[in-house]
Amino acid sequence: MKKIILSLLFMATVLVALPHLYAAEEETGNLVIHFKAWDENYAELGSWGWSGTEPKTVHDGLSDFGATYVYNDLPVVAINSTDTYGFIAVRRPAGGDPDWSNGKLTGDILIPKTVVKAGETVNVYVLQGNGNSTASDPRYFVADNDKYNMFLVYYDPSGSYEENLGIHNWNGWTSEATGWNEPLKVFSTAGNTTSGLAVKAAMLKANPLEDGDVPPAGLLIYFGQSDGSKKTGDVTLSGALGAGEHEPGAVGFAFVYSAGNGLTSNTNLFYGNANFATFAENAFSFRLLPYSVDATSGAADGTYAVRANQVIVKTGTQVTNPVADEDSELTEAEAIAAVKGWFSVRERTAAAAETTEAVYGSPLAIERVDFALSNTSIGDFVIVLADGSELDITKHYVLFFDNGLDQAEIELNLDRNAPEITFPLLGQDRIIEVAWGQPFNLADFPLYSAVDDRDGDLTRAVFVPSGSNSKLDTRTEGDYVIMLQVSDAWGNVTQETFTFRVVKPAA
Amino acid sequence: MKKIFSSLLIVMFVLFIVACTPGASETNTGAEIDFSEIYTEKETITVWIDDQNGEYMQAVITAFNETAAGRNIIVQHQHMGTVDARERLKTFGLTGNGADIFQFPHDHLAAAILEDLVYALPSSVASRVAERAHPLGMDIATLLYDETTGRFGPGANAQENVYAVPMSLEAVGLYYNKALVPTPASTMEELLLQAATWNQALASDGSGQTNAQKGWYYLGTSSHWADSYFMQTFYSALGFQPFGENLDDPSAVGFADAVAALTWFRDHLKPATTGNNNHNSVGAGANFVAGHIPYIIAGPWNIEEYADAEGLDFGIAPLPSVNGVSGAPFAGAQMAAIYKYSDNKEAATTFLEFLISDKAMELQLQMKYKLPALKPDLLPNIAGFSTDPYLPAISLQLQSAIPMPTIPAVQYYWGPGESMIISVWNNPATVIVNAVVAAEQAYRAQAGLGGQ
Repeated sequence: MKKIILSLLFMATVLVALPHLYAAEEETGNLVIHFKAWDENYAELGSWGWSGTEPKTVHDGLSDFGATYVYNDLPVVAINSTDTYGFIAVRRPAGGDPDWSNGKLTGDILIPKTVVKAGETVNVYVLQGNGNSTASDPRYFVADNDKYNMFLVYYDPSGSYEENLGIHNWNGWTSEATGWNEPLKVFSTAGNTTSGLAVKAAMLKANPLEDGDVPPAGLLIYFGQSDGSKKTGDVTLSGALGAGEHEPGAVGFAFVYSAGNGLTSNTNLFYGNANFATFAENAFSFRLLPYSVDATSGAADGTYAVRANQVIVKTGTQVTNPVADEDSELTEAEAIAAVKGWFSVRERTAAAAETTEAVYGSPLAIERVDFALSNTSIGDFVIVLADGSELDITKHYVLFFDNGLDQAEIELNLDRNAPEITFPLLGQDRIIEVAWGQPFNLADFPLYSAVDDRDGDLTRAVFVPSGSNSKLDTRTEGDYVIMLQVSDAWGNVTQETFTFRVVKPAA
Repeated sequence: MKKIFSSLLIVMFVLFIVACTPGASETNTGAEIDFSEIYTEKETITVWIDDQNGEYMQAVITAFNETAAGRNIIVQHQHMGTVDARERLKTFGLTGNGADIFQFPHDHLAAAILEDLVYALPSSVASRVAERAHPLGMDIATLLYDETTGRFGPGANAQENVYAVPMSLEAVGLYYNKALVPTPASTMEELLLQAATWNQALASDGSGQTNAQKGWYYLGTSSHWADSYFMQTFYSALGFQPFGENLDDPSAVGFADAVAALTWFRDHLKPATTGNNNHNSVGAGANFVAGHIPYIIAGPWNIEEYADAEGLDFGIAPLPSVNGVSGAPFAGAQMAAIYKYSDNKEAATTFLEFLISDKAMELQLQMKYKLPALKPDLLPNIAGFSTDPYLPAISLQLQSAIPMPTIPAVQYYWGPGESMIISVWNNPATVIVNAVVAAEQAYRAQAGLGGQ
């Protein structure tokens, strides 16, 4: 009887304890954040964290991808939880406080706590950049332990991405494009280069075959305007994963930079982390960024002459600032002069031909070059040309850069067109009759608008210059020519006229 | 006959006069009009304000252009993050390719002045701003600075100037779940007593665990417990305020005065808020949103998230006193300033002053949900303020707040201060006096002040 009672007690204990043991095991999971810096320099790289991801004075290790941060035994939260783990990759010199001024390599990366799975180690990938997580650009990418994953990084050195950019894909992805010229828009902004240009990325997932093998999944990057919009040839999952055996949960890597449109040679595609350095060398090589206009804000960017005596310069990668370089032996004045010497602006008097090189005039005199003196690295400059060296919009100029390490040149974009003033409701003769002997009704002043190819809508800047073409006298019959004027930021001036004709009413 | 002839002559004369008199339709009431006086050449200013989609700034600019002062000023808004604004002004400001007005938070003011970016407002403008701005905002925007030496604080050539217009104010408060605490605690003693009961009670989810075991501690923080900004209310109640009485003495960081507060943290606050766990162990924000905990110390920036939480009915109460002493949290501000080398200072000043007008503040409240940095007696003039469920409470909290220190040395305060609390909070073996000394030394080393 005693044995039976003991056995029953033992069984009851086991029955009660087992669920708790298993429940305890299933309530936590591990999170590994993999972080990639563009220069792959992870010295003194730690992190800042909050809401469960404690700050680390230094990263926990290195994976093929980059620095790793390991957070074990994190609680599994309800699937509808909106709580997030906070993470910032930041250098912490000598393991001390974060160097927020010069060592911050990410913005606030907010990773939902729901990514943590009971009893699993979840891998999350983060790229260097200066932005915070947002709903549209979370800036973290979670690998699925039950799928084969491809982390696809895409960079356009021009800094502008086609609105319809995406992929066409096939053979086993969990989500596939509905048809040709209907790109699957998988990309979000994942990071930024050191000069602030956006880098796109996507974590693509494919179901294992029935036997667990890697499916023959492939894709190409394009923006939905047939072959001419292709950025790559075929990019394959197996290529990204590389040779050897793979298990579900594996992550392959593919790095692509835009080398233009209609390209399928894949010379701009680099598989695997081992080839990242070659990708970076090609993608992030030094150059002067061309003039561009932000599609949303209309703000100008890149390298261009903003006025006849000012050239704004933006480099693709930042360069060391000799003024703020502690190792530099130059005085501040010498360092400023050195930066000024990096630039020269020359008129191109003859374009290059098949057998002859371009011909350039003498360098224009530069008064000074403005840049952020206290910043250790710089990529934005304003060249101020000396009096008498102003740019002529009827000519062509080339900007040359040479700091001893990097050389580049670019034809300057000039504002060659003046604004346009239009009168949408006036006929070709632009004559408006007004009644003689009556006070003028301002509502009779014609509607007008002014638009500039660079500066956009300038309607509010239109004015009537004071003078003979600014007055109307309704006491006296006759024609009164009124002039409107507007100028753009460059200083291009447009004047347009219309006529008020003062007439007596018919008897 | 003669009479008849004379009468005819008179009639004919009258008819002649009438015929020669112009009719009503031919009366000349015309005038000369000079359109150059109406369609005048306008001045254009560029404004860098943190407003991603630009809708709020567009509304402000439209309202500005409807005023007599703003009619002939074209305002171009460009979205710019506050750190980016300073960086880009260094490069683009001098050539006129930057902003005439830019925005930054309180802790950027001193740095921006040192970088030669900020225009000190003329005294007449400063006086007008002071008539409307909240005194805390004015304190934050006013600095004693010696331009010849680049030093803040008293000096031979130091001048006190107002450098910016405060646009919005913020301070942490005690946010409470009305379903769990109908009447919020007014003292920490009361709150901690209730916390002891709550933490040991079984959680409401039927798990069989206590609230403490679930991590649902009675009081949470939306930051972490080693964040000196959030802890300032307790620090001040327990006798510690950094940088001296006027918060502007870099040599008086004063960590030595924090011993009593650190002792209270370890012995009273920690057991009630994290138990034996570390300072950063509790995700209180999610717990509060989910309705699991009654209290959280949070700021106005959390309101949107909390207000969107389904089923959460919360209020904001003044931060509780400690040992009968009310705490004084830091008040921060978002500010707008004129670029020092702007070629359009007059127009920029006109717009800057408009930013603190009732209309601009109303738009800021309605579209950005920020507490206008106006004197409390002016706030009822702002449509939507009095009926707002939260902003009056934040305004009330500001009555006991102190302005955030703006001297450059404040950047060296946070790190050592955080390490000091962490060492006390997370390690029971830490000797508090030693932690205080370590923080003082770390601060002085980073601030370049040398040993004591």
